[in-house]
This record gives sequence, C-alpha cells and structure tokens, in this order.
Amino acid sequence: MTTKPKYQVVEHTADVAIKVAADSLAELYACAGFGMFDLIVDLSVVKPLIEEHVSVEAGDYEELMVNWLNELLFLFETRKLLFCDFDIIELDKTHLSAVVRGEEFSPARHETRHDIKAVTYYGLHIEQEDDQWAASVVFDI
Amino acid sequence: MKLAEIHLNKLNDWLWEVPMTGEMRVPARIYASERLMHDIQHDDSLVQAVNVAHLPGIVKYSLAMPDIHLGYGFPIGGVAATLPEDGGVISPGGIGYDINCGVRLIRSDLTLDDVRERLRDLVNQIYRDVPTGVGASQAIPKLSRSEMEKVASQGSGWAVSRGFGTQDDLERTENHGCIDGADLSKVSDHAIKRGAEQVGTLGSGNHFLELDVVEQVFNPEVAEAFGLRKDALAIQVHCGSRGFGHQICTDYIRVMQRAVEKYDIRLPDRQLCCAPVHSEEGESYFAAMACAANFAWASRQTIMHLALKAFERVLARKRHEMGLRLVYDVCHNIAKFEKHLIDGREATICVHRKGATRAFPAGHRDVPEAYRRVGQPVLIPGDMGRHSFVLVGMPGAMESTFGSSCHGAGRTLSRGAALREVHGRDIARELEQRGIIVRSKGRKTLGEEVSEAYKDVADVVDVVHNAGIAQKVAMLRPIAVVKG
Repeated sequence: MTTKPKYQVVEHTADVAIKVAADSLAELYACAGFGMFDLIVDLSVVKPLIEEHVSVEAGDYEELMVNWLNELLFLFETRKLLFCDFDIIELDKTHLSAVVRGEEFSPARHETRHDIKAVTYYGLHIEQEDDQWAASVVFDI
Repeated sequence: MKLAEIHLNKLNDWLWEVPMTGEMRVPARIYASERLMHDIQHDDSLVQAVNVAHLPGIVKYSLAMPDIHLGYGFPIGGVAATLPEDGGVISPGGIGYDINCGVRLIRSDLTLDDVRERLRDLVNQIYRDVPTGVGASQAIPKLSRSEMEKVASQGSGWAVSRGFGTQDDLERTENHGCIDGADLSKVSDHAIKRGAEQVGTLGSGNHFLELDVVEQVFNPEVAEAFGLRKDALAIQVHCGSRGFGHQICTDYIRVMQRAVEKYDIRLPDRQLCCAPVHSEEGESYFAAMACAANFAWASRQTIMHLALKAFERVLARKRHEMGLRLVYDVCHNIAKFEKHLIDGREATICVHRKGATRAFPAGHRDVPEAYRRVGQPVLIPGDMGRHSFVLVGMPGAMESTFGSSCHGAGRTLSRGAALREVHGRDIARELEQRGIIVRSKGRKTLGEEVSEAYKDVADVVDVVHNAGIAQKVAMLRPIAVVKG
C-alpha cells in the first residue's frame, strides 16, 4: 500500500492537531505518520532512500496510534531519520508492524516546520463510519 | 462537561469559580480579569480546569492562573495539589511533556551603551555556541550512560562540577537545581538515547535565549536585592528537558493508562491518567520525572555557561568584571512535595504546576538566603518582542494558590491563525526596526511566535499583582532574541 497524504491541520491554541481520514485502518495509521512528518518538514522534498522496520504493541487502537507515532518520533530524534512512505505490514488491536522509508535529515535541504515533543491522547478517538476511518491527533510542540 | 455547560461565578475583580457539579471533587478557581476571561472562553481551557477537579485526592481547588490556555489534559497555567495520605494521585499530564521547562535570569552591570557596537557579534556568537532548532544536539560532546546518571541525580550540580558555573549559581536556583529521589533505572533506554546529545541545547517552539534591558523598576528595594538596576543588561534563558523529558512523559502516560484500570480511577479525559502517589507506578514516575527535572537544570546551567563564554569572548572581559551572575532559575512544569496549610494543619501535598511558577514569599525556608528578606524571584517572560516581568512571591500565594503564580503571557491565537495573521510580513525585519535583533533557525517559528498570538503579559501580571500572589519588581525590554 502506498501512502496518500490525506490529512488536514486542525487549530489548537498552543499545540498542533491533525485530522486523518482513510479507507482502511492500515491507511489511517500510514496517513497519520505522513501527517506528523509533514508537520516537522516539508515532505515533498524527502526521498524514500532508507528503509526501516517498526513494530509497536498497545492495549487498543488509540494507544497503538500514540505508540506508533512516538516510535517514529524517536527514530527522528535519535537517528535524524525523516520518513515519507509507510507500509503497514501487520495490524490488529494490539500490534502494528510496518516498513517505513525516508532519508536522513539534512538542515540544508529540509527546512523545519515544528519541533514535535510528543503525541498526546487529548481528544484522540479512532472512528469508523461505513468504509471510512478517521482520527484526530494532538501533538505537543 | 462542555464549555457552554460551565457555570462561572465572579468572586472578585481577579477571581472566578466554577462550583462543584457532577463528579468534581473540588471547585475550579481561575485568576483573571474581566477582559482576560473573555479571551479564555474562546477555547476549552475552562473545561480542562474542570476536568482536573476530578483527580482523586485533589485538595481545595483546581486552580488556573491568568495565562491559562488550552493544553491537553491539564490546561496550561493549571495548578493542582493532591494529598498523598488521602489516596492523592500524581499525573504525568499535570507536569507535561517538557518536564521542568523553566526560565533563568542573569543580571549584569553592563548597559546597552557598553555593548552597542558589538551587540550583533555577541548575538551571533551565542547563536553559534548554543544549539537551537528542531533536533538540536551536541552543545557539549554526547554523554555516556554513567554521565547521564550524574546529570539525572545531580542536576545543576553536575554542570557546576564540570566547571559550567559556581556554587553561588546553585544557591540561586529553585531547589538548588536538583530534586531528590531521581532514579535512572526508572527511565527507558529510549529516553536516555534521546537525551544523551541534548544537554545544553535550546530546542525550538517558544524556547529562547534573550538579551534584555531593565526598562522600569517598580520596587527599588526588591530590585536591588535581586541585583537588577535600571538600564542594565540582563539575559533570559527559557527551555526544558528536551527529548529526555518528552520520552519520560510519553513512557509514563503509557504506564498510567494501565494504572487507571488497576486502581479503578475514572477520569473525563484519558490524558489525565494518573496513579496514587504512594503506588509502584506513582513512585516510579516521580523518580523518572526527577531525572528529567535535574536534566533540565543541568541544561539551563550549561546554556548559561555557553552564553557567558560568548560574552567573555566578544567583549574580552571576564564574567565577574561585567557583573554577570544568576538572579534565579524557576521551573514551570513540575510536581513537587511541599508543605502547605490544608484545613488548618500543615500537610505535605503533591503540587502539580503545569505552566505555573512557584512564588514563595519573604521568610519561607525554601527561598535562598540572599532573598529570604524580600521573597522568591518570579520570572515571567513575555512573548517575543514584548516586555518580560520580574515579580516577587507574596504571602497571598501561600494562602490561595499553593505558592504559585503565572508563568508567561499565554497564547491566544493558534499557530495556524498566527501564520495567517502575519502572512506577507517580514517579522524579523519588523523586530529589527523596533531595535530587537533576531536569530532563528525556522522562518515559520517567528511567524507563529509573533506578539499578536499572545495575551499581553502586562495584563496577566497585573492580575497576580492585584490578587496579592506576586508583586511587580521590574520590567525588561528585549534587545536580542535567539530562537529555534
């Protein structure tokens, strides 16, 4: 599955929130990953040159979302990796594994937008209506 | 509860109350003027103050300072105290991701005339020496795990042992720059990895290093005690525990998600998750939080050293010859065990300050000896381009706010709205025209942090001044800002 960057930025007084919508749950997690990195830098100039495997566990879908995005954030902060492409390989209520692709952050080419500190639970609900999945995620910046 | 359902009683010109309803355990009290309250009701921050009133073991009130604005879980500007002996909880969301985000103020004998010709060089040197921006790292070489152990257990003392300051700096830092009870074994490898390269870095967002001039002195006696004289140059540093603290909060919010089930705690917002202070989860979180608090103090102490070194290099004088020394360092995202009067008797309570500053009055044993006669300095930075204030803690804070005051201006526009507001404007140039030199990594940061996005800090400070929580001492005018 290839990520389609379907997300929109939602207003929040101190922080930044995104709203993601997708045709499947897997795509929802992929879109949220894309949305988060697009808040950090302009992803249109990031190329899928490096590949990483990411695997997270959780108690429910909301926690899985928080843990997934936080794990990606950890890779950015400790190894300066920016990701633009997200393949969700396995997904159930307690587990997500994915192959993510991107490149190393280069201050000369990637102008930064936001310093995301963390992914929060505030107002986080993963909802399904007919064949559409939706979620809002508030980031602490 | 929705905003429209909140019933707000005005108690006096500076204080409002939301009475207990539903499962609230205490009322919520908000310090604000009529005008500020009008702004506050633009978002859900009052709902968040009401939600905090649901925490088990909360005593007296869920409090909000006049800079209250929407956070996640707790409002920013929120203060809540719980009684551990009564099942009181500790909530990582009540401290926030940026554990021990705080401010330090450095005074000097220099005037603007002394540095005017070299000011731009000075700012450039600071900008080179203090790493800023998203993912900023390596102000000093990456720390090993054993060095991180020392940072986490000693705080500012670690920085001083490395030669980044003096014993006098520790005296003039809240808690001497170190909270007891830190235990790095309660911190994940993820957090240690994130923090190892980040001691001494500013980061991004609203964090900054600013050069100011003391423009006005309101209380000459207290200003003199703090070492602040009219027209003298001062330095402010605002930052926190960077990725180390962010990861610790993230990890423990995960732990607390399980804890609320285990202890059968029902809350209106998942982000408020918590555990009893006296529980395995509560004690582990406090030990980890203390590591992050100490990391932040070590970091601000290191940044101060890097900035003073830049002064020495550019102005070719030693720091003591320029009268550069720490006034005070306060934290504004923290949980602490403090003694306060509860129902007429002294009790040890767990005070959560989420975007609030400790404001202890004259005579309090935790105020540094040098200031005990006048009270603790309370540092309130304004937004980029507007004034900052130095206040002093007053007895009213002990009586009504668990010794707490506001912490800043408080946002009123979202970042997106701020960017729309400044569309087409060159903010750096506008600031330069007003005599403020700006160095920033991100062009967007300047737009998001524009003055119009914030409440006027003077309005916020007037509320705590008039409410008898903290009194105005001096006002600082920015002349240079270094941002992420």
